[in-house]
Amino acid sequence: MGTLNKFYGWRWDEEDPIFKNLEYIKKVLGYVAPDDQSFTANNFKELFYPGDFELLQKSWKAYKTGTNHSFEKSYRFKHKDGSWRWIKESGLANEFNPSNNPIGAIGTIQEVTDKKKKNTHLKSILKSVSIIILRLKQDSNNNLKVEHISEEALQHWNIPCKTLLKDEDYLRNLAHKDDLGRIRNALNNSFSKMEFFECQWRVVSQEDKIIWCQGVGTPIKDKDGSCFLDIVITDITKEKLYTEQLKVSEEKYHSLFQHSPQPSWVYNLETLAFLNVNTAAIEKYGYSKDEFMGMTLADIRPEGEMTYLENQVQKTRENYLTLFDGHFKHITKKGEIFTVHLYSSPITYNGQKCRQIIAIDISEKMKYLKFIENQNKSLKKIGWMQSHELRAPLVRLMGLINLLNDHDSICKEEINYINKEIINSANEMDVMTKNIAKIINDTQLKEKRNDAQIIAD
Amino acid sequence: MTHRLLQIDDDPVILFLHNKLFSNYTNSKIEQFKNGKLALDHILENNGPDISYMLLLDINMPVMNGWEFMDEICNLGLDRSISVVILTSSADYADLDKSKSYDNIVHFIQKPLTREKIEKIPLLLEYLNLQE
Repeated sequence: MGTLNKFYGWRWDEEDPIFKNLEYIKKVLGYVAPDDQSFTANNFKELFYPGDFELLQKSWKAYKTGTNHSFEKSYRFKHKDGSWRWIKESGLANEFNPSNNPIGAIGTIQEVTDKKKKNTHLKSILKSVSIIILRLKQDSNNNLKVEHISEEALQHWNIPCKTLLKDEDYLRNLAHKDDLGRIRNALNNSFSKMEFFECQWRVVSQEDKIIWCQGVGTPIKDKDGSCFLDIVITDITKEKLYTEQLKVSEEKYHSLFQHSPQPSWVYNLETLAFLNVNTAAIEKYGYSKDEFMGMTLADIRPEGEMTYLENQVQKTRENYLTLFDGHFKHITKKGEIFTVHLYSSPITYNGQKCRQIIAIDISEKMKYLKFIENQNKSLKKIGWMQSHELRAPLVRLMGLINLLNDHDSICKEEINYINKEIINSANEMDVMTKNIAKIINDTQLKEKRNDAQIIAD
Repeated sequence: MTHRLLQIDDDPVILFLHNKLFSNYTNSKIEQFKNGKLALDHILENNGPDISYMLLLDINMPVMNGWEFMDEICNLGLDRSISVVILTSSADYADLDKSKSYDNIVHFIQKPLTREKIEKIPLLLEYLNLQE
């Protein structure tokens, strides 16, 4: 393959020019002609790629009977090692018959396998990346015309293209009507100032689908003074879709954040500065958004909580990605201190490592919890008093009354003792029941005070 | 073998009532202790291989309550020779549940004690019969 790009000369005055150059046959095709048996007239045709020999003969015949001076044809030929090689023959006639048909020519023969491969590869790349190459030319009257458009890609996009090259108003086929003005402006600007062209527009495909395109290119001045612009057009429909979805998602997030009924904010983990706060936070803490933007987390914590805040922030810095929640004391602008259940999660905000916070005021909840806990304690105490303390005089009473029924076994002194103890036990029970009633009354009073406090709040 | 029945209760009225009840079954006076500590000291002083005890044990008592007493006799390894009837005014299910965790508690009775209740416990009747 080292002789790939080497040209071998030939001279034609007989039937076929190709095998006049023994050096070419040997070095490029690997045969030692004419001794090589595969190179005999009978086997010769078999060395062509199926169909290529006929095509070569056809164009050779057309050339000989025509009046063209130049001849050029490529075909595939089998190398001695069995591989197919692309061969290009080109020549120029230098003898003609009276009818002006060429009867003699000189030319070159060369192997172009690599070049063909590269072209095929390039075509497949262009096909897979869905690029349209559009060449626009501006004549001396500043009229623009389509000079070239890659049809293969156009077919892929399903844009009607056959008429495009002929159509004066080519843009009509290439862009959505609402985007025509924008493209024309961009084109005029690019040609008049010879500046880089860049534009995004929509194309309506034959199936009425909207395809988003992006075209870029640099205008170039030709030798004749005309200008042309090779525009590389790519399909950016998917990117547009993703961008739209991202925008919708961002708006949704923003709306959820702003309209959340719970105070929420974003702060910078390094400086602890507030970067964004929602409406609920503004209402709860009493600072305006502008005030918040000049504050840090320390400004909404009571003085005694600073060490606690610093420790917590340090932990978060060390484990940025962790989620955590906990109870903290916060302070409003008016100085009101309340307990919050705070949820913290990582968030990247304007490219910075930040945390998003949701802070729920649980002061009322804590009051209720404490009240319920106290109530439970009272109930437990009453239960214990009833099953242990109150039952002691009761069982005594029951035992004494049982004994009274057994007249025979008791003497007069014992009757006095029994009577005395019945009264004692009854008194004891009286005190116990009063104690229990007091506990119930105290609990109810606390409940009333709590309700009144909540109403007042 | 000597069989000894002991009452452990801090309430003198209850002890009085029990004495009246037990007098229907035995002429002997059943020994009484005001708390677990006094009973434990007595048992330790009078313990021997030929003595077996049955205790009528109250739970809520000063100094050493019923459960503390039970734990002590278990720790001292006395539980095998001592059968216990819990006799309490408590209506707390927690006490009943707790009593089940001791192998030598043979009955759990809510006060007041009556003849009917006594007669449902053959072992108690046996001890009452065997009192000297």
